[in-house]
Amino acid sequence: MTLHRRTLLAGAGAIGAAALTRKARAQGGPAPRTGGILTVAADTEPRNLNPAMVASNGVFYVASKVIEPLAEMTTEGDGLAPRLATRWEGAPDGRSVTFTLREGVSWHDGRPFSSADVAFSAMRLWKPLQNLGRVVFKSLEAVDTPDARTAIFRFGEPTPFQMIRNAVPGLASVVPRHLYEVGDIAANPANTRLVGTGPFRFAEHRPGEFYRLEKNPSYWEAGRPYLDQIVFRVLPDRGAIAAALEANQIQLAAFSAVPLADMERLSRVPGIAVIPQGYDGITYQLTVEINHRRKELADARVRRAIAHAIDRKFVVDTIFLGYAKPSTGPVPAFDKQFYTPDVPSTPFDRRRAEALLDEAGLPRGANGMRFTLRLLPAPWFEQTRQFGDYLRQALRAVGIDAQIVNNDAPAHLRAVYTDHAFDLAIGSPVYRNDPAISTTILYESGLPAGVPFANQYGYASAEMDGLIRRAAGTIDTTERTALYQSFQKLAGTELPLIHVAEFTFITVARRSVMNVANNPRWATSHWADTWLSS
Amino acid sequence: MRDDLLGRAALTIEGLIGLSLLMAAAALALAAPLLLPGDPFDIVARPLLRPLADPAHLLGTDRLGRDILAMIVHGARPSLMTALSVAAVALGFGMAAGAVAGMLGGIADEVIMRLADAVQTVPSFVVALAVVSVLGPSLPGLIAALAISAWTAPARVVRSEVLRLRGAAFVESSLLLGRGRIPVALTVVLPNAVTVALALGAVIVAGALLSEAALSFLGLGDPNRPSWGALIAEGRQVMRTAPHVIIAPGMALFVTVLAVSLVGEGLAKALSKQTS
Repeated sequence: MTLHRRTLLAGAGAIGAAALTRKARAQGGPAPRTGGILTVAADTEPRNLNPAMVASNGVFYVASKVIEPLAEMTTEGDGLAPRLATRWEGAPDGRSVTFTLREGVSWHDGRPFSSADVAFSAMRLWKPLQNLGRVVFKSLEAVDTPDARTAIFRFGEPTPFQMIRNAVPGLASVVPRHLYEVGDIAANPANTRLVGTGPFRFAEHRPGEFYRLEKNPSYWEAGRPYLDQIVFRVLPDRGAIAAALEANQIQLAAFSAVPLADMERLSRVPGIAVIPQGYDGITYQLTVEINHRRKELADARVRRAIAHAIDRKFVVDTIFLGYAKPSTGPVPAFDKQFYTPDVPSTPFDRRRAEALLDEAGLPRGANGMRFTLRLLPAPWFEQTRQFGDYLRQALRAVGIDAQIVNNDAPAHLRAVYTDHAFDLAIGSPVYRNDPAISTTILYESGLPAGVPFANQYGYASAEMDGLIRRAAGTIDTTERTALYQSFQKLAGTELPLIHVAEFTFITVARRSVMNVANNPRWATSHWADTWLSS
Repeated sequence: MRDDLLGRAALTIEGLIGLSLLMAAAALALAAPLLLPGDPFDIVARPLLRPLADPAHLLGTDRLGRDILAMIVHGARPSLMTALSVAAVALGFGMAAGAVAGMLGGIADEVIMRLADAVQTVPSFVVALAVVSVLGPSLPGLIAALAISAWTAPARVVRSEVLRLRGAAFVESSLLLGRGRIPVALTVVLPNAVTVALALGAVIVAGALLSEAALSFLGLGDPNRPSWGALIAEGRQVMRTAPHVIIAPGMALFVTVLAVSLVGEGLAKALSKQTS
């Protein structure tokens, strides 16, 4: 294997898959078996399956096996494992990043992979079209390709290498230039019939039934993948997923597709394992989004009162059945680079909440309520809806009458992020391993209406905007980290939105599926080393 | 004779059981705020408490620890309210439309009955789904949505009754006195055709109860009121682990629909005795 011979400078560290297999052998684990069909549950069928355009976990779940990023997250070493790139190095002035690309890689249609594909993906897809890439690659001016194995990203503004590194696993999926250079990229048939370099080739999609991927026999890593096929069976009904697992009709369900309440029972079923690892790199946060245009909610004391009215322990224990952690702020504790626990806290304290509301000049009226507001729980997860039910009761206890408004996904997006027709909303933003990728956008002001998962809250603070701007242009890692810690403190003081809990997901799998959850984005990684014991 | 129809229906065994069950349900629904005061959505105990495990929460609790009995009893109010209102609106409008169509004949008859045909070609639940999606989940919207499709059956039944009675001597004499055809249709003919339509009322109530539950089940109910359909949807998530969460509201719905159907059965029996 080329991997073992190669010395990795920036990417020095364990080579995820190979290292884990070696470890398994050293521990006396069985040798991987080649062959077999892995059938897994899928609950959505994204209209556009191209991860270079749509960076979302629903897309990655299927597409990550076909289309590879430049590098993948790992728990070992410096946190990045090589995929299409074998080396990466940032210039000290923050104006360029050089990727050295893997040799001997070819696309599923047989054409060779080269730096031109990387340059094309970056300039034509990630930067102008991709939901997250628009932020991260904002100042990317050009990608130079001095030879087929080198891609040099050139930035107009100093861009922190730390952020680019953190963004690569999710944002840097490479698609073939030769299929995309002609015509409208958004309408390209390869957006649904994927062509990549990954361990599996896209075989077919039957809408409402399944996606089928088959082994790529000429994958760059010799001997991989182990599986012959992966079938994603579309099973929108959660109860059906649990039953299909028990009947061994599917071998794996990721992203907590099985209701949490069923986990304990399933964990006792012989042959089934409940695996809470493998999602640290895609931590979700349960948040209360606040419309500051509402005069009561523009008062920080009222927002603080709402935060004090929430019993985070109850939320974690009852709604997430322990599969979550209370949040302290916009950066989850998992992130060892940026997280600081040293922020103003709002422990559960109804008396304090009531005192703050009284102080804000909002006494209880004749019906016992202080004021009424609309509460829009996002329909994304079972838990966002349940937390809506909980928050309604928690707010009533301190005299705020919250009326729940349920919407389907498009109507919810429009109401919150375009029309601003809400007072409180329950959100679940994803933390993507660097506050600059998808977190500070929840705090910075001046975004046009219609940008989803962003500050559509009417919150504008010069201090916050200044801090975000300064951090975005800071190259020095230590200084940058310190700025994001100040950001967390200021977020805790002004409390424009309330972070309640951070949660990842759970995989339920038959014990015959091996090498599950062996990296922090496992469900959305390539599964080249996944195998089935007989 | 119309007055004692209900009495005679109650004397049939079906009618007796149905009426008692229905009255018990109505009494529970009316007394809900007295029996189980406070917000039925309050989180009062450990989540997923089993039925009878705690005498304070006879039917146990749901995933958040809310009392299932309280939600079912409070949920009976909107369910019954909706169903009875739908029946009242559909019967009132349907019977009037049927009487007018039958009495006037000609163009009026054509227009009304072709409209009924048109309404009946669209599945009623699809109409309800569309109306609720547009109007949003409110009680009047829900009633309108379900009544839109329900009025055609009473209209047809009453129309055929009116066609039968149109030539009767008492109708002819009313017309000869110089009264208009529509007033005669509504005040003279309709009261004599009403008994037939009443039995249909039970069918409409039962259908509306189920449709209301189905809409709430799909998340199109009012989330700020407890509802059986929403409870069933909640219970479905934990069906394998805590079946009581779905069984309890399911039974409530089943028993109520059964009671209404039994009353309808009793009415039909009493009616057939009367006509034979």
